[in-house]
Amino acid sequence: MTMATPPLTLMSDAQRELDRYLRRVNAALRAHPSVDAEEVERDIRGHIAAELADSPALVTEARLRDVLNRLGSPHQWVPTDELPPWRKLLVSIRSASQDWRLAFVTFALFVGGFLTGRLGVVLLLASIPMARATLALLEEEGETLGARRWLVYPPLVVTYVTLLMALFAAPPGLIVTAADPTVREDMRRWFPQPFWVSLPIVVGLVAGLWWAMLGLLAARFVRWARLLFWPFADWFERRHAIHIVRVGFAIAALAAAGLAAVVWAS
Amino acid sequence: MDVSDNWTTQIRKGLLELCILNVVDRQRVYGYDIVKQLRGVDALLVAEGTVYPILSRLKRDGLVKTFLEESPEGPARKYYELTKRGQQLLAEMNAYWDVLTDGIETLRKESR
Repeated sequence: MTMATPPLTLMSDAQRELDRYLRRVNAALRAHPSVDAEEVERDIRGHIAAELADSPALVTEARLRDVLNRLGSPHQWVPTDELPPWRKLLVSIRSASQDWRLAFVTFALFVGGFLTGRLGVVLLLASIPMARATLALLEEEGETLGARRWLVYPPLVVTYVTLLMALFAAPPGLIVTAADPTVREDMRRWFPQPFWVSLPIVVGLVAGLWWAMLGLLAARFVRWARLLFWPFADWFERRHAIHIVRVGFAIAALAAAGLAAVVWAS
Repeated sequence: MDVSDNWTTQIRKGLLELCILNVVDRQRVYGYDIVKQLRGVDALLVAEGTVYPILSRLKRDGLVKTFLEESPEGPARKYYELTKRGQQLLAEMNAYWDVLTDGIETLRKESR
């Protein structure tokens, strides 16, 4: 069930404040399975609109802040004992605002991952949810990340870049496979042309169709794509995914044209 | 002071749910109106936003239901109403509350 949001005309700084507050609402409640965060966010929007209904045409930040102060800090709305265990642990590690401990733990796990032996993989893997949880907690409490980003971002950047490369560069793996003499022999049955002619066509077709499929998946599940690469992919929208689909199909079409030309020439 | 703060916080949390159910029991009511009515109870509502996650949880537990109704003042509003299950639970909670407050009152009278 969706509820239309009453129209509010806010001054630009008030609008920014409202957006920030609603992000905090969402961040504070999404970890609670007993609460529908989106529904509460709609209710809060309705509450704010009702409170400001008698305000002058353009709502100032001070007027909005007055309403938000009465609503209170979202992370205090739901008791801590309802949080999942990992979340409780994080809250207990953090003692106050501007606490750097979680950021240091994240960075220590990340660096430890490179310095230790087999255990390193576990530490590296652990640093990823730790980094994301640290960011979520800061967002929930309306705190800016500031210089802590240098401790929290590295595991995420390394992981996301690796994941992106694996996702998009999987087809070039074909090149490595194709270098195998037996595979080359198989390919020759289908493409009598020299290997350097057939290879780009095959790679182009596979890569193009693969990227188109990735783009279609991302267009269908935009929210999941954003979530996967959070917090760096908040800008990602359906039109970007469609762009990937177009590029993929264009490459596949070029490769198909090349294939047609080769077949026609032979 | 910490003990006192913790105690009042715990009491408030439990009572807030009881109060919300009682407000919704009287009539079907708009979310914002619930907050306005609760404002009338001193020291109950420290952060007004607390009401909405509770309403969401009550809805998930099947104790209240919601519906949209056109509003003359603007867009459709979401109204809350108690379900049968909610009415039963509220009756039990109110009865428990009566027994509890009677007992506490008796204890307080005896200690004076």
